[in-house]
Order: sequence, then structure tokens, then C-alpha cells
Amino acid sequence: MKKAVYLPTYNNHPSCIESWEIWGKKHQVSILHDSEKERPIWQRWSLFGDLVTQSSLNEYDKIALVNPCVMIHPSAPDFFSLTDDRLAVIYDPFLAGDIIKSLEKMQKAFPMTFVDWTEYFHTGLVIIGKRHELFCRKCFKFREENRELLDQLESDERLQEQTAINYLVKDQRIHTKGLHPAFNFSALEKRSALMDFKFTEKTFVWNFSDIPKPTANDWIEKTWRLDLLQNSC
Amino acid sequence: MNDIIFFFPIESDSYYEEKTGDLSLKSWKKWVKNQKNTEIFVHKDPLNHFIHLPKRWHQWFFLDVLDTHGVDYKQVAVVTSQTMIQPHAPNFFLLNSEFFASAYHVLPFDVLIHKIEQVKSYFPQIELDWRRYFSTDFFLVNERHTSSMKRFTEFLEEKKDELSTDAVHPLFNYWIKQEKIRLRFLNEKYHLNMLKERNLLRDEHWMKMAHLWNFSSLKPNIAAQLMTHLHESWGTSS
Repeated sequence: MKKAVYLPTYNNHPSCIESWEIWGKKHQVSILHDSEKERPIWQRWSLFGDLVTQSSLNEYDKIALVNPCVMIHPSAPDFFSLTDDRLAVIYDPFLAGDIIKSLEKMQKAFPMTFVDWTEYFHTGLVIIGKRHELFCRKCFKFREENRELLDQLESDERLQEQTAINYLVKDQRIHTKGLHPAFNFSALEKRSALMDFKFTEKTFVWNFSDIPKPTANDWIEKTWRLDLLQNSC
Repeated sequence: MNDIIFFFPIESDSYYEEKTGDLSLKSWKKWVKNQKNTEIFVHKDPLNHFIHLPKRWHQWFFLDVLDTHGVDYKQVAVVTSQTMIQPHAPNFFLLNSEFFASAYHVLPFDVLIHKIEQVKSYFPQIELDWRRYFSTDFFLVNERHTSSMKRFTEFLEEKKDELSTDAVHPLFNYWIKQEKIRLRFLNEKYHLNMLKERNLLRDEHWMKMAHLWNFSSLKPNIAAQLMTHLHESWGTSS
């Protein structure tokens, strides 16, 4: 099975990129970089859509889409083997207040679909396979058809594609596989997880994207300099 | 035989703690009134054989207390006065009949890891997954678990001089795993907690999005304020 991680370069931190490259080498996972010129929000869902014709992408059986500012422990296990060939996501209702509000705001784009807050997943790390090509095309098409509304939700409410993808998965009845939240450990500040770096011992993938910059960069650098990680490289 | 709510009042030292305990009990009484074949038993007097243990531990002798009072049961839900239930919440006893059941207990990560490591030495062979840490303020047992619960209280008795009062929560998590008891996690709506840290107090969504709340992470005066608001929102018709 050929596996790849699709990694945004734009707005990403070099240490996060390095972590994925080291991890990828250990598990024979190719690291693909996007264009540096645009924000990789909806564009990445076109991987199996518009871009599928590119033979270099077509050769992969599974691709993990990763958000910027997400770091992986160099010794993390290979999560591709855990997906059961389903769309793999992370269910984690920790920030329940934010989840319920974003669902409410996105509801206008999906008047016939209901997503319960306890079923909400994160897209900081999503694993798709060839069988999801049609779904990815639908996601990208949805974006094209609702560009005005989505741009407005993004600028006014800071809602990115995550909530819409939740609705689309429900709407399209896509079967998902929930991975352990250790594979996209987020809300590190809100969870009081940063102080002693225990999270690097208990979890595998760390999402710093919800920490405001430049603070996020400081934490990324401190984390990457830890002996535990450097010795695992 | 009925299903039993074993209501355990956490010791209260202040006006606010007393108020929260009172509101909690009122909610559980209302909920029981709306169910069939369900009764509430409010723990009041400890039995002689565990009176010397910390008061917070008396909760774990619930089967002894029920036996002493001649209460038969199908399932028992142990709930503490830190919780409140929506009077029309679906009956969780019907969702479960054979398993030990509880709900995921969201905690600050540093606290959670500390709890797990705090008592690890008693269970060196057991690895506890932080994402499967369940609440001890709300859990369901049935007669299949009687002997295991008995052994747990004996374990507490034996280790009473070594353990801090709050060590009992992670201990019980380890215990259930060590005893290979099948654990069913109820939907997170049956245990909404850490309202402040989870950005739930910016509006009133939190009052509609759960069946059961745990207010233990809040200061007693804030908990009392929120619980009063919740109680009043249900009105007298519930």
C-alpha cells in the first residue's frame, strides 16, 4: 500500500514539517507539499478531485491531510493501518462550546442535515483513500457552489472547512473511523496540557493551530527541542 | 425489582455546597418521578463497619448500604450531589442492562495524567488510557459486579492509611480494568462538565445540550449560580 501525507507549507512551522519528514521516512510514507502561495483550507480536498489526474498523486492508496502547525512524534505509530479503509478522523468534543456554535452557524448551508455535537470530528488529521474520490469531489464542488456564504462565514465567524466537512460526511452518509484523540491532540492551552510537556509522552500528534501566533511558534520550538523527541529522530 | 438511584451527598461545609447538593437532589427526584420502575435512595447514615473511613469514601459502600436497608435492585446508578439531571432525560437504565456503564470524565490534561500516575504503583501491569477515564460521580452497576465491588471496598480498607482521599477515583478506574469488567461508555450528553474550560459559559447552549451535568470543576458559588439557573429554567411543570 502506498501512503502519503499532504502537508501544507503555507503558514506552517519548519519544525512541524521536519517532524513529518522524519516520521514519513520511518514508515515509508511520502510527504507531499502543497503550493506555498495559498492557504490550504478547501484546496486540499481537491487532491482526489481535480488533481487526481496527476499521476504522481494517483499512485497513492491513502493520503493523510494535515493542518498547518501540526507536529508528529517521530516515534508515533503508523496510523494508516488503523483506518479500516474508512475516512479516518478524530472525534473529540473537548471544545464543546465552540463546536455547538459552529454547527449552528453552518446549519444554514445544510438545512436538511443535522449533526449532533457529540458526533463532531476534527479535520486536523484526516485520512482518505481512493474510495473517497467522489466524496472529495463533492466537497470541492460544494465549496465552489457556496463560495460566497463560506467566505462570509470564514471572515465573520472564523469558520473554516471543518464544520462543513462534518455536515458533508453526514449528508453523504460516509462511514468514518474514529482514531484515538492522541492522533490529533488539540486545544493544548485550554486543556492545561502545555506546562510539563506530558502530552509528548501520552499522545502522538499535536495540533498547535488553535494557539495564537507567535505563542504557538514558541511552543512548537520548545516541544521540538525536547530530548525525548530529538532522541527519537 | 426496580432500578435504583443511589444518591450520595458530598459533604458540604458551606452555604453554596449545601445549596448545590439540594438542587442536585431535587433534579434526581424529579427525574425518578418521570421514570417507571425506578426509585431513589438517598445515603444518610454510614454503617458502623466503614464509619472510620474518610466520608468521601462512604460512596463505595453503596451495595452494603442497600443490602442493610433491604433494597433489591436490577441496576444501581451511583450519583453524587455534584451532578444534575434534566428531569425528562432519557432513561439511561434502558440503554444498558448488563455492563458496567459510565461516561467519559473530561479533566484538565495535567490533572488527568497526575491522577492516572498517582496510583499506578498499585496496578503495575495495567495501562490506563486517558481517553477512557470514566466519571465516578455517575456510574451504573448490576448484580454481576457485586463481588468485584466488595473486593474494591476491602482493598480501600486495607490501603486506607496509604491513600489520599481523592486517590479513590483513579483507583476505581484501574480496578474496573484490572477486574476485566466490560465498560460501556454512555454518550457524552450524560456527563457534561468543565463548562468554563470548554467555552460553554459564553451563552446558554450548555443548558440544552446535555442530559446530565457535573459541576465539580467549578467553585461552589459559581456552581450554585448555574445550578439555580438550570433548575429555574425547568420551571415547576417538570
